[in-house]
This record gives sequence, C-alpha cells and structure tokens, in this order.
Amino acid sequence: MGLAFTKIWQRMIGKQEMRILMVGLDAAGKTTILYKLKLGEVVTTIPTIGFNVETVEYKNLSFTVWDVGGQDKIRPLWRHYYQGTNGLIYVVDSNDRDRIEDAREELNKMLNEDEMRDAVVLVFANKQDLPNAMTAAEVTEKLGLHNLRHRQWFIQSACATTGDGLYEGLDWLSRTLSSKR
Amino acid sequence: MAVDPAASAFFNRQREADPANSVCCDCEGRKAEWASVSHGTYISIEASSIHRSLGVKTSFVLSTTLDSWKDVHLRMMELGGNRRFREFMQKHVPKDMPLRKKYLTRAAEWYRANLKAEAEGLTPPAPLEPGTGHWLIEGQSTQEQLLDHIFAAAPGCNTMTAGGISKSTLGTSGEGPHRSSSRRSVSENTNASKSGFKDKPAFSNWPWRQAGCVAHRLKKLSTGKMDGFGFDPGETQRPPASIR
Repeated sequence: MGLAFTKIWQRMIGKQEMRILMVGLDAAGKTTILYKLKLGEVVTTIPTIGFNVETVEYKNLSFTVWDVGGQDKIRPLWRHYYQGTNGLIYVVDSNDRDRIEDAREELNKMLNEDEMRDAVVLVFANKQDLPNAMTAAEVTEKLGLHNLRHRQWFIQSACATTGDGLYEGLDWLSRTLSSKR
Repeated sequence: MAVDPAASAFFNRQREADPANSVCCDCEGRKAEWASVSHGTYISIEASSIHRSLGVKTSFVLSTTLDSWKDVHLRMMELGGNRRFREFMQKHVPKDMPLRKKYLTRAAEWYRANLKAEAEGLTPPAPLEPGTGHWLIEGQSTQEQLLDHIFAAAPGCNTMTAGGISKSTLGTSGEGPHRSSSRRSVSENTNASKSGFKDKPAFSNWPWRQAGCVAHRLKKLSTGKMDGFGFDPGETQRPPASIR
C-alpha cells in the first residue's frame, strides 16, 4: 500500500527512479564525484573496498548511484551490480596515461555484457585540474568510444574537487534517460 | 581472483627483511597494506587517501593485496622501502612539514625520479642541490590549496608526518562514513552496515523538499568551461569534426 502510494506520488510529481552504476579504475575519483553530487562538498576518501550508494535528486529524476571500488582484484565484482542499470558512469583519471589502456579494456568488457545492453554511458574525463591531463577528445580516442555501436554515450571533462563538469554530465544523463522512457 | 602468490611472497619477504615495511611510512603504528609505488614505500589505507589526492604523477598507489603488480613496480618496492625513504627525507625536509607538502617538495620529487631511474636502469637525475630539498615544486595551484585545507580538516590525516610519528592516537578513520564539522570522511566499507541502503530518505529529505535543490547546487558548481560531447545512434548527426 505504501509502495503503491509512493509510486502514484512519484508519477504526480514526475520523479522517475534511475539506477546508475559508477565504476572505473582505482583512484579515478568515483567516490569524490558521488559525494560532491550528494553533498556539494569535497570529502576525503580512502579506497573503496566494497561500495557506496547514495540517491541524488536531479530535475525530475531520482538517481540511485552505486559507486563500486576499482581495485584490480575487486573489478570482477562489478558484474553483480549490472542488473537493472539504466546508466553507466565511467570515471577516468585523465592524468593516468599509463593505465588508459586498462580503462579501455575494462569498459569494453563491461559493455559486452548482455545485462548492460540498454545502459547509456556517461564518461567523466576527471582530474582536469592536474597539469597535462588528457582532453576529452584524447580520452574518447583512447577509450575507443567512436567504435561503440548501438550505444548512446557522452563524454564530459570534469574536475570532481571543484565540481566542474559534473552538472553537465548529469544533465545529459537526465535528458537521455527521460527521453528513453 | 586470488592474490597473486608471487607478489604476496615478495611482500612477505620485504616485511621480514625489514620490520619498518610492516608499518605505515607516514603514520607509524598503522598497518601498511598499501603502497606508494612512486616512492617505494608501504603505507596505511588512511595515508593512501593523501597519496591518491596528489595524483598518479606524484604518487601512484596500489594495494599489496587487491591489485596485480607489474615487475617494474615490484622492483621499485625492492629498491625503495620505508627505511630508505624516511632516512632520505629526514636529511632534507623538516619533520613538522604537513604530509601533503612533503610529497610536493624537491626532495620527494628527486627521490621519485631517482628510484624510477634505478628500477628501469636509466640515468639517474642530477644530484639534489644542498639546502633546496624542502622547497616546494612549482607554485601551488588553488586546487592544491583547497585539498591541503580539506585534508588538514579531516580526522586522522592532519596528525601524520612523513617519516615521523603520528602525533595523535585518533582512530577515527576507517570506522565508516562520518562527519567532522562540515566535512565528511568516507571510509572503507568492508562492513555491510556502512553501505547498502543507508540512505533511506528521512522526512526532511523527501523529494518535494529536495526537488530542484541538487540541480540548483550543481549548476552553481559548474563554471561552464568544461567541454563534453557524445553520440546517439538514434540521430544521424555526428559529433563535430573538431573533436573526432
């Protein structure tokens, strides 16, 4: 009964719930992004062993964002979060040229999974504040985003600590997911 | 995926060879299960927080248990070690310098370059000029200052000194997300209770109260100078040529 009421209410005020999975290599800035979105503050983060989850209300959407740890040996756990994912936020450390190839592999592996078939992809080219960061165009090329078929994607330069770019990314996500419904 | 047995055996040997490698190089007393590969040092998960905030070019952090290791990185750990780094830093940098700053000094920069050269068999950098080790490398950006400020306010982190002893016994880090004044330290969530559906909305958070607030806040964060572009297979439009 309570659930039914919630659903009716959400329809009335137009809030749709979206499940967002946020992954990327370790130290890409996922947790910092999550809490910047949630609190508007920079938090000190330690490596996420496991996950964090927060809801972020944005425009007519309520995003449930799952932020899952990125250490090499815990990446196989990402697949447990695929089911029902509407949107994938893939966070890349634009400074980490040495590991951009790893980032590409992990992204492709994930997008080949059947459960991720319908998920739209937002890439944050994060840490743009650090010197010699790869540009969004460079990250696009190195991740091979132009080779993606049948996939809606968007790449956004970002700096999680200042919040630059986060809003633009979320804006794309909300527009794209609203029009899909 | 199991822990790589070769790497695991290597780290055990390193700890046996020198007990200094078992405790955090930055905050003595804490267990060192993480590593700053760039400095060849073993650090705690709390200290890894500071190292990660410096960026991979300053400090590349790996877990000794949750990451796979390349040979060159293991070599850096073998040539480095906590004792060597600490002894070097004690010669060049004042003990009371804040931790983030210590890693942004010329001495730390030289140490990184030298260790990398040793591990890769390249020419070592020119010797550090005496008396300049404590100088900071280039001008600090406002971004760096912001992070200094945030880490100074975070519980448990401001008490660490590189190569020194943790001045406080504050054990707050690692006990789950909590707030300290307006800031919050997000800690590891190995315990299920720390994550999961902890964010069931309280009454004050119900949608009609919050609607638009986040959108507004986010808009304020943006300076609009960051570029973005994408692709929609449903549209015939291609991204502009300039970014292809």
